[in-house]
Amino acid sequence: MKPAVRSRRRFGDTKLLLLGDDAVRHARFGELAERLDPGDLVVVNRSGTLPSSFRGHVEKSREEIEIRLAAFQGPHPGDLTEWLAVSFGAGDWRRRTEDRGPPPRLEVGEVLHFAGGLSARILGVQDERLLRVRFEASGKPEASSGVAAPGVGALYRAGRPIQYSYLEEEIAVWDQQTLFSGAPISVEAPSAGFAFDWELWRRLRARGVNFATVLHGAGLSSTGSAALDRRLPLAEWSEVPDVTIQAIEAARRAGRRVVALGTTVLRALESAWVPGEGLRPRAGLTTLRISPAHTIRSVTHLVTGMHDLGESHRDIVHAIVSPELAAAADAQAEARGYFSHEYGDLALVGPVKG
Amino acid sequence: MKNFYQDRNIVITGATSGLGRALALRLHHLGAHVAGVARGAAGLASLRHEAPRALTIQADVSRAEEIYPLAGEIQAKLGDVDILFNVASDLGPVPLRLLADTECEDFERALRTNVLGPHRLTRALLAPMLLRGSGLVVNVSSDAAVNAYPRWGAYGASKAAVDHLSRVLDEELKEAGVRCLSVDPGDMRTPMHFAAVPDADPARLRDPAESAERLLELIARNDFSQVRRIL
Repeated sequence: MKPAVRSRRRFGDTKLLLLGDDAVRHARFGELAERLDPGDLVVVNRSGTLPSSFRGHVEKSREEIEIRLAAFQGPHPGDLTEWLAVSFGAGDWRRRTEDRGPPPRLEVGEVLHFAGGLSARILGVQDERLLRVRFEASGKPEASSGVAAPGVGALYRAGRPIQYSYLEEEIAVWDQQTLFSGAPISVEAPSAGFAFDWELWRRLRARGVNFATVLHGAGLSSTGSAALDRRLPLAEWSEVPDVTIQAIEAARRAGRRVVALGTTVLRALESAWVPGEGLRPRAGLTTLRISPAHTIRSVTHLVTGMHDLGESHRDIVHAIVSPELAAAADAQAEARGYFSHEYGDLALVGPVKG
Repeated sequence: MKNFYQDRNIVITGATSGLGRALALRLHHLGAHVAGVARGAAGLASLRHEAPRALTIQADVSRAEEIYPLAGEIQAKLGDVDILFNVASDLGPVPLRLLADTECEDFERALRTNVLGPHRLTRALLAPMLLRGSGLVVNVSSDAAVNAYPRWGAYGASKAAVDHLSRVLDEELKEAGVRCLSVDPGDMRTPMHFAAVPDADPARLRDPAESAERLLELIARNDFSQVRRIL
């Protein structure tokens, strides 16, 4: 499937593949309201996206380095201090990450310096390139505390959006935000939200479709290393409030659809499922991996990007529909000129096989 | 009024001067969680001194690239915004000039600050308001938006634009519980007024603290029909 090469879409143009009930059908995302019924619930990720590529140098060796934040670790969304990150060597985003040179070797305790007096201390190193970092303001240490936490503004000033080599133009911070963007704990956009506009939201509301939110920090989608990619998704920050759980339970009791807008929403909601208890409010890291054998309990449907049918989140799609049906959908989408990747077309997958 | 503003998350641009600063101080006193936004670090430090619990953020709302960093910081540290006051304003050319003498660059800056900046920041902070079905956006306007005062052309045209923007946005969003108002606070003893009218008689100008108080009372009473011509 061809990737969508532009970040600016014409609203209403996005295709929607309907995949479920042993059938593959084709619609437009703008028709979502007609595909849903009164009382159905759509759950969206309210996370904003931080520009997450940081270029600077290693304090000790003076070597140049790029790190990409890979997943927000805490302590909470009001304090964006600790992250998992992946280091990159020579070259920039125009070169495929697989083809870039080796990054500097780092040890715990080393310090990286970025623009505007922002620093990051290495708290952990795994597989040479997977780092745990803590941002620090290196400019003027506070006399009392020793280390000053940097402001959120310092991260925005030093960071650049993670770029995609298949896009024609560099994306800017606003190209990374969805309609629902709030606290910026994602490193790449929860992209299923890109096709949403308030017009569609109004149509859905007028139809009687309800909305609820989670806050889930979407992590890095590609590390440039097969070994590291196998570790994805990393531990991600995830908050599911009680009001959302009540909305889900009400919809399910009434036999309505519950639609996760994006795989991050699904991961958040499935992480909130406690065996023997059901859905419970939570806030913290989740390490849940959704395998094809995973039984999805929180939602009935998932809206996801086309690349997810065949690639990165294939396991998740196969937890909802059979691999044969997903493969058939992939082939039809290819033949019909669907666009894949972050700014491409979408699929409504479900109901969850039972 | 205390009950109405207590623990509300409120963003104020132009928070280091005139009406913006008066709103920030009063709301801080009333127990609101205030985020004060302005370009100048010194003014923000002074605001922090008088409103120690307030969050202060240095940003220029006329610059598109500063809006999402600003919105990101607000939503990370303050949370969902209940009320946004777009107070930051630009007069256009200073000293004021006839419209026929007004450089396009000066006019553009006024439009970016007074119209596009509020539009961008509103869009960036709107989602939680619409999702939960309540919220308020207040844009600060002027009688120069309505009356054709010579030499107030760039400012007046930009304020007329923000008036209309507010009306359309209010029409579009009020069904979903989100209101948008444009407010004329009258002539106040503010640095901006003296920049526009250097020989203005301070005795004939309103104290911005009084304007802020009146505006907050009307909002708390939900008396939006009165707000436009308030003061």
